[in-house]
Amino acid sequence: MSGTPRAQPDTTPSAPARRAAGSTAAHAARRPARLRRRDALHHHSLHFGPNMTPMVDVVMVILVFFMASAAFLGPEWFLPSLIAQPPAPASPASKAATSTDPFALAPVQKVITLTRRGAASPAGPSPPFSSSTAASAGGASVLASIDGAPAVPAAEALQSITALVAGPGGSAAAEKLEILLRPAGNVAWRDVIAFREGLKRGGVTRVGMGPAAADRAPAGAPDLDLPRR
Amino acid sequence: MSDSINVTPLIDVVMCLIIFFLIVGKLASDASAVRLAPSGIGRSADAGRAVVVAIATADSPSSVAPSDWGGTRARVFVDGQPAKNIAELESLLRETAQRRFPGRALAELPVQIRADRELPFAAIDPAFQACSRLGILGVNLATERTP
Repeated sequence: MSGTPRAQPDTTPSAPARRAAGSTAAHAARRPARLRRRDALHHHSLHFGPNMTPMVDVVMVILVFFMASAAFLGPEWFLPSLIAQPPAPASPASKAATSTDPFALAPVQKVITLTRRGAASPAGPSPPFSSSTAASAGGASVLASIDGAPAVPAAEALQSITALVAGPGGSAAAEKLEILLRPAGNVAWRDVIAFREGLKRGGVTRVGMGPAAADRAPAGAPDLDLPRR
Repeated sequence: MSDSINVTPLIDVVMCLIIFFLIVGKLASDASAVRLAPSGIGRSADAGRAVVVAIATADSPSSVAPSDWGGTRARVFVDGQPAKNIAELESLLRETAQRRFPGRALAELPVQIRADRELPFAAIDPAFQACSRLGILGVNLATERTP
């Protein structure tokens, strides 16, 4: 705390006389050229640095702003899905355009039809099918049929699809595998999303949504195309 | 003391107003929101840069009368505009695409499907059919993020 030297009170007996004689000269020597500001804020800034309160205030508001933004934007995931299109009429020009790479493998398309067990009843309360617990719970409320094969529990269908893209060369197989998902009209949307989530977990990237299948009969041969990249 | 104007209170008030309107806007949009199906995997997307097709159940809080969608009473909105049938849904999608994404091909239109998890697929299928007829190649299915 080194400040301007201040006069100490003089207690000697001759102080009044000396103060009277030299007061004018001593006071003129101690007084600065300008009048010194003696407000509390200036005094505070001299001893404790700049005032941090406004900066802390603004920073806290910005922090709350970003926290609120993150809370609003955070709680959603998005599952990309292709839209099945009617097959385009094959022409020689289009065939030539699509077969530029002679070694390219044709995409493997599988049509998966989802139906509800006991599908005669309309959609109502049923135990939800969860892909994350499919292996243990079985996902027995939803049945899946691959390319018109007999329907099996959705969890088994997921495992068989996942087996196609697992193991060595799985990434190349996943790129060539296309799934056209055709849920029946009475399958709950949460079950469709659960199956779609299971496909994504299994590494299948190209999944398309087709029109609703019949409630009972599985779909036959694919009559729709997924858009090409 | 500095001679410049102290803008700290101004910033303070403006930021509080932004947060206020952010929260109010979120609550207002929740009025017609749907209960999304849970998913533990997916990708983040900018919801504000896509045409949102929302499909809500008939018992969702809304002043719009529900209509028949695949044998199920539901409410369908395209960016907040209600549609009563698939023809209206198609025209709304086309108008919204022209308004929000002028000059962009419909095939590349970013579309987000937000459907209630309790709805049967028959109520959601018209949205996919409308997208297919318009030549839209892909959509994003909105889900609720779960750990």
